[in-house]
Amino acid sequence: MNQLPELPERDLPPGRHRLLKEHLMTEIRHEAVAVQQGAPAPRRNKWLRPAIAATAVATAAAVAFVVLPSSGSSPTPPAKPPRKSTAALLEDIALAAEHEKSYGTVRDDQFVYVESQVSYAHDGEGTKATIDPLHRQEVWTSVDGLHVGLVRQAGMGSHSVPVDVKPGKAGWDVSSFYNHVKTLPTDADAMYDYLATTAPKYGGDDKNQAMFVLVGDLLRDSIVPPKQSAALFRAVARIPGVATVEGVKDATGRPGVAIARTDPYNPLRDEWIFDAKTYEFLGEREVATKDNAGVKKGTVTANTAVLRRAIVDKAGERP
Amino acid sequence: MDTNLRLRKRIRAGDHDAFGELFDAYARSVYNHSFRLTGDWAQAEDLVSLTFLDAWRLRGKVDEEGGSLRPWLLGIATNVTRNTRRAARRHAAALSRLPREEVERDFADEVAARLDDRAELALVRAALATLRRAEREVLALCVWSGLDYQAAAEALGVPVGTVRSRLSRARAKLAKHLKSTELLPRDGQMKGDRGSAVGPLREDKR
Repeated sequence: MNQLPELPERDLPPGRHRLLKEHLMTEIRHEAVAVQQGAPAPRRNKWLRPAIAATAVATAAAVAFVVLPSSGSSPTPPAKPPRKSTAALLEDIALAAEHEKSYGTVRDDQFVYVESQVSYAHDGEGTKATIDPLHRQEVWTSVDGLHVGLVRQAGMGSHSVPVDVKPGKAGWDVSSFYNHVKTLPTDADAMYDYLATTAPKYGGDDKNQAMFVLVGDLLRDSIVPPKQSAALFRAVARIPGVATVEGVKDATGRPGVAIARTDPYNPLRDEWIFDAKTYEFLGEREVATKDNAGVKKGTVTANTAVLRRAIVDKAGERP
Repeated sequence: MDTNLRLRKRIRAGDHDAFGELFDAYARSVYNHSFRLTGDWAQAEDLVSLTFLDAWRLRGKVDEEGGSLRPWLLGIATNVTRNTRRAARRHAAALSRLPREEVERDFADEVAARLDDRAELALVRAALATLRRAEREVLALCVWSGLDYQAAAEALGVPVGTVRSRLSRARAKLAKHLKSTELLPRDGQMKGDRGSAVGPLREDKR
């Protein structure tokens, strides 16, 4: 067998080993000094921008890596506002969300339970990417964010979710803990403003994409009260680049229509799938928008279907 | 109880000092592995933080039995590199508190500084350009980080046979590419801090 060269190893730059270690230890101890609310956050922007955008390009687009210039400028022209039909669909979704059942009184010490079927693509042998078999995923998320949560994946075991974001501290303003999302605005304008000011703090050069991703984070594996949920969808109707994709299916084959946005920094499109009649949120997909690293354009690289959501008393307890 | 077992126990129990020891022992390995998967030292630094934050999150999944935790960490680093966006979202709060350097290091200058580095970067870029991600991952784990097939299989969550076949394909592809582009230094060697670092690339029969 032919032998390839080994590579020399390098130390972390002077001082970085100690700094990164201190950071880790501080985070572990949950004693992190809170980033003051309202304080300008240029440092965060600076950090997250190259790390997220560039790494995603380098790893997902192996071939493109050596071809693309390293410029961080926006690779796509400015996105256009959603079409009227997309805005109308989002209004239907918002109306349906507004009339969703209430979960009644939710106690701080309870957990949001979300059961889904999920599968994610992995690079496979030869030219084909392999899709993980669809499997059950159960997530228990603390209502107040102060209790240890749990994730259980069929066939892959389970792990606890430690408390790493505290109310009012950094990260809380983008968390999907029930006690956070229930405090979000119920008015579409105010919700849009919240998304526009909060999302860019946590990543992405492209504000619109960051807003869309944040909404996805808030909706996934969580329970959002009806009024906030409706306001979220109405705010999304104003994010440029948001579009409709017809005739899609969720991970369990339930047909629906998707609200989608193409990621300007990765060759993929994020989609949220809704029932075409009831407008209920069914699940999510991630679709390759270019032939890339062996993944053909159009390949569904992530696929989920939410089966039920409930409030339960303990992590690990099923409704 | 041997050192590895004791450390595994402490890591599982969420012992803070054990994580400090883990960082001291393996941050360098994770840093170099992350570079080999991305071709970018600055990103590799960020990936070190994400990897250890994720290791803390996943500490309960550490097997009680086993040897060094290095393969486990390199497996996490591989996953974090694959799904950087997801990992960054998961640890958004912690990342926002990551100390940044006041002065941006000039990546190009830094790379040009040492001939070793340039050859290294060329090799990593060649791997990025010619190999599929899955092939690159086994190459980085088995050849460059020195894991055996079993450890790499566990780190990646794939069968040993898959590691073997991916690795042989990766080797063949990369060797072919390096030959055609003469990316290797003339003597066929990469200078390294390990004496045996030489790859007699041209000796195809071994």
